[in-house]
Order: sequence, then structure tokens, then C-alpha cells
Amino acid sequence: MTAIDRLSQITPPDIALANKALSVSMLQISGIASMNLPQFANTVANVQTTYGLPLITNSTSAVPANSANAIVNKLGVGTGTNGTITISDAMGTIAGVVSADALQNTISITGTMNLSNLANIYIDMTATANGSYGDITSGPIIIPSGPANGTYDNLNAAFNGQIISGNIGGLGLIPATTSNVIPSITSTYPSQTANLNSNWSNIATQINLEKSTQAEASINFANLTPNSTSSIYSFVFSLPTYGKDTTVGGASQFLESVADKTTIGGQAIVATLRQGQSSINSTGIKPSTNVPSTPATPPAQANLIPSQPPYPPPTTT
Amino acid sequence: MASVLTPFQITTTANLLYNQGISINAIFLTNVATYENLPYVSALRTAIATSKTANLAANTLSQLYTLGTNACPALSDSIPSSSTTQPANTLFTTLLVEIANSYISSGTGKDVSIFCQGFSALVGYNGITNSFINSAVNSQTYLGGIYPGADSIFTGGITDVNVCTSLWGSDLQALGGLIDLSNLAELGTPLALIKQLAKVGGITPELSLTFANAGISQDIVVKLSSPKVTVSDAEQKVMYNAMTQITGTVLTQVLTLLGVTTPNINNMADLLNPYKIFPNSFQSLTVTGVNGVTQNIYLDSAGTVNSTVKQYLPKVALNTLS
Repeated sequence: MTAIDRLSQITPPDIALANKALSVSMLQISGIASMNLPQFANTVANVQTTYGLPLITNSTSAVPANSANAIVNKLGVGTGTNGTITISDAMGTIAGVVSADALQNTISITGTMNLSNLANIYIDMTATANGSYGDITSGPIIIPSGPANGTYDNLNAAFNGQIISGNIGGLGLIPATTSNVIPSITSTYPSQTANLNSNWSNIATQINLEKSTQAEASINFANLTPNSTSSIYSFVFSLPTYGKDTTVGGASQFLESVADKTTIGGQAIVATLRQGQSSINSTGIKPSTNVPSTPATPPAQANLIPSQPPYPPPTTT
Repeated sequence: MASVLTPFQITTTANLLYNQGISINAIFLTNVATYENLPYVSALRTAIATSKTANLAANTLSQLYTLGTNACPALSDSIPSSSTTQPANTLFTTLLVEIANSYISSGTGKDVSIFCQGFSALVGYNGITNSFINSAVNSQTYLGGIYPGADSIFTGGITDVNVCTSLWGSDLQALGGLIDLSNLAELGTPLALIKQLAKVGGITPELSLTFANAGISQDIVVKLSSPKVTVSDAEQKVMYNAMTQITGTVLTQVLTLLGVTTPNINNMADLLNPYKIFPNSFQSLTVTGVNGVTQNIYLDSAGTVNSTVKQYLPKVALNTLS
């Protein structure tokens, strides 16, 4: 580069400064060095600007932070990076996403708790409803023990409770469960209770996310077309592409979870996903993976209307 | 038609067409069954079934599905209150299996084509949505914290040089092939102009003679057509002075060879003067200095150069590196 100190010795200093400033400025145009002047001139003459759009022209960032946040807050509700939505967010229940582990945890946690009183009052409900404790219509129904013990006029009284009058009445099965048995368990096992609630809350969050994502995508499974063969074709054609998505909660992981691997069909789904993931197609090795889709015997060709005139053509007069 | 299906895809299709190959996750179903067989859950489910048979009042029956909702829903297989889906008289694990089933069923039973449609649509929706999410996040950092302005981004930096793009474009179009854009670092030097002339049109004998008469050495004059010619600063000054005297036919030849149609080019040295070569747009020529401030290169319609731009040009433009 001929700097100003030299250029101003060659040409008048003011012209030298103008040229150097112009040079510095033009060199900031991306890709300019690969163009010739006529090409560049036409580009400049026809380029569009933000003139007349002062809010855009005078913005101090490429995208205002509140605009970016508005998008992220509205759309970025998934479990992927930046809140992106995964297919597991959209329909994970069928793959056991969240729920499979949460239910396993539930089984493990409740195994550490004495829930016999809970089971007993549910058994009392059955015994009450099936008439073991007395005629469910004419009564009396006598629950012999437990927090709901008492003598009730009828079935609904036994479940809902009946004001005690003399030897008649009792707390009732449902009030006894909700205000006695369950509170007793949760107070005895506060840690387990918190864990159980956390696991079930997580399942609820998952199904809420699925529902909201499907609503945003305007997908209502109940309204899809039954027995759509073409959708199966499309799905199968796309399987290798789905296979390339190996992210957590992504297409590969999800489809592996719903592929019935006890059948050859389910295993073929996983195999097709792996074909998409395989790097062999980018090498010089050519696997024989494609089955010809044209018949081995060429189909007979139809006799179509002639597209050429007869020769010699008819004589014109 | 070229073959497009692999053996695995054919096997997959054969199974999907008969609603096989895709099912609710087996571990999930096993865990649901195990939970539902826990003594207290099994007892609750039996109680509900028996109560239905016994025609327990509807509002009382419905309470059996929500016994632990507020305290610990797992103790009664109740739907947590945080769930936005609250179907009546449904236990939570039943709801979960129903949801899973809805993804692979139509009114007639299992139908994996429902799954295929929903899956494909949701993958597509996610892809589009995620591009917006990621772009929004990246938009806050993608220029490394330096934002040159909307016009600069929109025009690739053209408006950083001249915001009046239409007028500047017209001026540039009138310059034909005057400037070698791959040699902008030498913009304004007589040698750069001669090299560009040699490149696009050639050096005429008359021009060579003019330079020779001005005192340029014969060695250099004969090499002016060479792209590798080097000339000292002192000789370039001589060339510049000579250019100020090049008018008339020789100037016309030069302008013709370069394709310059700009009016009021009175001598060849004018081709090195931005004020002369951009007659309709020089007043809006700008440069952004190292301080990030954009300044006009010219101060007025008379072509007075803004001397303050000098202090904000990069050092490499100010001083020759020794």
C-alpha cells in the first residue's frame, strides 16, 4: 500500500488524503476485489438501502434484543439447545420420554414407603361398593375398621361421609382418604413425597409440551388421514435423512425408541436410520444398497400418435 | 427411473403397510403395567371399577380419580394439577397410554400412517421453528459485538462509502474501467492509473512520448505496459505533473481506452482526483475511521477535503511500513 506519507509526495496532499480515505473505505466492501469496475458500478447503482426507514437505519444492533427475546420467549420452549424443539418434545410420550423413567422412579420410591393403609382403604372402597359391608341400596353399610369405620345409610353416604348420630355415621371413605390416609403418608415420608411429586410433575410438563407444540404446529392427530399409504412412502424415503439427526431427543433417538425391535420391520427402521448415519457413502467405497426399481423386463411400448409427417409429404397445389 | 430404495427401506415399508414395526415404547408400557400392579394402585383401580358397577353417584365417582391430586398424585394415579390435559374420570397412567396410542391410531385401531403423518409434519415444523430460535439467539452475537449499521449490512458495506448509492453508481458507471478494484491499496497513484490503462486498453505511443518528454527515464517508459513495472515516488511525481499537461487528443485517447465518459475531465491528472471523477456524488463520500465514526471525505461543494479524516485512518494507510 502506498501510504499517505508517500502519496502526498506524489500528488497534492488534499487529493492524496481523499484517495487514501476512499481507498480505506472501499476496501471494507466485502468481495469488491473480485469485481471489475463496470460490475461494481452496476451493483452500486442498483443496490437498495434502508433510506426512509429510520427505525431500521438508526438501529444500534442487527436485531434488537427485545425482538430476539420475543422470538426465543415465544418459540424457544423446547428442551434442545437454545430452547429448540425436539421431536421428543412434540410427541415423546409414545417413546416413553420422561414418563418411562419417572414411572420407574415412582415404583422405586413407593417401594420404600409403607402404603398398606392406603391399599386398605382402597380395598374398603371395593368391599363397600360390592356389598361386602352391607346392602348398597338399603343399607346399612358397616365399615368395620380404619379411618372410615362407621355405619352408613347407603353407598354414597359410605363414600362421602355421614354426620354421626348415635351409632350411625362416619367420616366416609373419600374424606378419610384425602384428609387422613394420604396426609398421614405425605407427612411420614416428606422426601419421598417430594420426589414423587417432582417425577409426576415432570410427566405433566412433558405432555403439556407435546400438546402445546402440536397446537403451534397445527397438528391434531385425531384429524389426520387414516390409512394414508402415501405418508408411509414419504416416511420411508425420509428415514435415512432422519437418521442423520443423532441429537438428544432428535429423530434417531426417538425412532429407535418406538421401533418395535422384536420384529424385522422395527429392526429395518433402525437399520435404515443407520444407513443415513453411515459415513461410507462419502468414501470411495460403493455399497450395494440400492434395489433397482424398474422391471427387469422392459415394459412394452405403446403405439402413440405419429409425431412426424409421412414421407414424401402430400403434394400441395 | 433410477433406483432409490434400499433393502431395509423395502422391509420397513412391507411392515408399516401392515401396521407393524412401530409401537409404543416397550419399557414405558412395562413401567406403566408395573405401577398399575402395585397393591395400592391395583386396589384403587378395582375400587373404581366396582364403584362404577355399583352405580356410585357420578360426582362421587369422579372424586375417586383425583384423591391425591393436590397432595401426591402418585398415591392415587391422579393427573397432576399442573397438567393442562384434565379429562374427566381418567387416571394418569391411562391418560399417558391414551396419548401414546393416539399417535399411532385412527378411529379403526392401530394405524402407523397416522404416526408417519404426524412425525413428518412435526419434524418439519421443528426445523423451521428452530431456525428462527437459533437465528434469534445468534443475532445477538454474530457480528462479534460490532454492528456497522443496517445499511452497511444490507449493502455489504457500499453505503459506508457513499450513502447516495444511485448517484455514486452513475458516477462509477461513467468511469468505465478506470479503477482496478483489485488494486485499491494503490488508488490515487499515477502508476496504478498507468497499469490499469495498460491492462484495459494499452499505452499509446503518444502517451509514452509525453512521459519521456517530461523526464521519465527511457527504461521506465518502455516498460509502462508491463504489469510488473516499478517506479520510484520521485518519478511518479514527475508522471503526475506530466499528467496535468496531458489534454486534447492524447487525453481523449486515454479516456476512450478507459471508457471514461465523465464530463469535465480536463487533463489526465483529473482521473486521480475523486472530486473530479465523482462529480455528482463526491459530497456524500464517507470513510469510517478507526474510532468507529463515519466522516465525510469532502466538506463542501467546492471539493474541500476534510482534513480531520486523516487522524482516524488506520496506521497502515498513514505511514509506510519500513
